[in-house]
Amino acid sequence: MRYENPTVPEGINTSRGHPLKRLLFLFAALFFLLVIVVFSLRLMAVWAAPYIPFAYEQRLVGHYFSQDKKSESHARLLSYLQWLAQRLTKAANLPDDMTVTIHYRDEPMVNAVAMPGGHIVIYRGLLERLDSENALAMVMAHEIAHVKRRHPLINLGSGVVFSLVIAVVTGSTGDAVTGRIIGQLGRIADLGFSREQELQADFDALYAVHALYGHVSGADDLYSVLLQEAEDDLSSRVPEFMQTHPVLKKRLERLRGVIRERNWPDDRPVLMLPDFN
Amino acid sequence: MSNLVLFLLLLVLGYSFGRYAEQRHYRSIIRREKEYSDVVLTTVRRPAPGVELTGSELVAGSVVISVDYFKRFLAGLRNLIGGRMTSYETLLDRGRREAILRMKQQAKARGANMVFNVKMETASISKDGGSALGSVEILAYGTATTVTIRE
Repeated sequence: MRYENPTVPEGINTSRGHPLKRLLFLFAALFFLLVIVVFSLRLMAVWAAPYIPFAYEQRLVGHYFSQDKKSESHARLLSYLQWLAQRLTKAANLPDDMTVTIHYRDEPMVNAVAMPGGHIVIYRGLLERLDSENALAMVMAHEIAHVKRRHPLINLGSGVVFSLVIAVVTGSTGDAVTGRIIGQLGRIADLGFSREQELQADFDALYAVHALYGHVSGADDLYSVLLQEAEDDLSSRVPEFMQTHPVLKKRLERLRGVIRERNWPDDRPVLMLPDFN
Repeated sequence: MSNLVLFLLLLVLGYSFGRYAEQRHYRSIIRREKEYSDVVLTTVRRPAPGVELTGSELVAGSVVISVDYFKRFLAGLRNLIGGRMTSYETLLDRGRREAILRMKQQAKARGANMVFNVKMETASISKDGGSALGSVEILAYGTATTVTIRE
C-alpha cells in the first residue's frame, strides 16, 4: 500500500478568461435587458396616459403648487406670463379640459420645466437670457407641448415603476452599489426617449408660435444663444447619450430645416419683452 | 458625477490591487505546494493494513480571504443574469489551497509525513453585512501522523 498526492494541473477549479472581458460582457447583457425593460415601461406609459384624466394629474400635484409666494413685481410678471400662456394654449389647440398654470422662480437657472398637472415653472435666469416675446413664446410653447403630449405624466409613471423594478431586483440580491449602477444604466437607456420628447416638443412649439404670430422670427433665439455659450464652455461637453436633451446644434438644425421646408417667414420684427423691474 | 468617479476609482483600485495580490498569492502557493509535497494527505480515516503509525495529532490550517471591490461588483452583476460566479472561483481556490498548506506546514513542523481524515469547512464571515465587502474563512483539519510502510 502506497499513499501519494500527485501534482494536479492548474486551472481545474477556476475559469479561464480575462475578468475585464467578463465585466464588459455583463455590462452589455445588463444594458440590453434594461433597454427592453425601459422600452416596455415607456410603451405602457404612453399607452396608458390618454386614459388618465387630466384632472387626476392635477390632483396628484395640487398640494405641491398651492402655496406660491408672490411679490408685487412677480404678480405683474406672472399675469403677463399667464396671458402669453393662454394665447399659446389656444394656438396649440390644447384640449378643453387641460389648463396651464405658470409659476415663476427667482433663481438664476436658465431653464423652464413642465410638471404634471399642467404646471410650468419659468426661472429668472431664462427670462434674463431672452430678448423678445417671440423667443419666450417659443420656450413656453415647448413646455405647453410637453403638457399636451402628457410627457410629465408618462415620465413620472414609467420612472416610478422603473425605480420599483430596480428596488425589487437589487433588493433580492442585496447589493446597493449594483443597484445604483443599474439605475444609472437604466437612466441612460431612458434618455433616448427624453431626447425624442424634446424634439417632438420643439416641432409642436414651432407650429404654435407660427399659428400665434404668423411668423417664426426670434423662435430659435434661445438655442442660438445657448449654443454660443456652450461652445465657449468646454466643461459642458457631455456626450449626447448621457444627456436629457438633444445637443443644441441638432435641435437648431432641425428647427431651421422645418422653417425652410414650410417657407415660414423668419425676418419679421419681433415684440419686445415688457420691463418688470 | 462625483459618485461615478468614486465608484470607478474603487473599481480600478480593486481590480489592480486584487489582481496583483492574487497573482502573487498563486506564485507563493505553487512554490509552497512543491515544498510541502512530502506531506501526503488522504481523506481516508483509518490506515490500510500493514501500515504502521507513530503518533497522531490534530492539525488545522485556517485562512480568511476578503473579496475585492472589483470581484464583488462582477459577482453582483452576475447575480442578476445567472451563470458561473467566475470572479469568486479563484478566491475560493486560493483559500482552499492556502488552508491545506498551513495544515501541512503544521504537520511537517511536528515531524509528521502524512495527514489522515482531512476535512474542510467554509464559513462566510460577513453573511449579513449588507453592502460591506464579504470575506470567507476556510478551514482544513486532519490527523497528522508518521507513517512507516512495510513492504
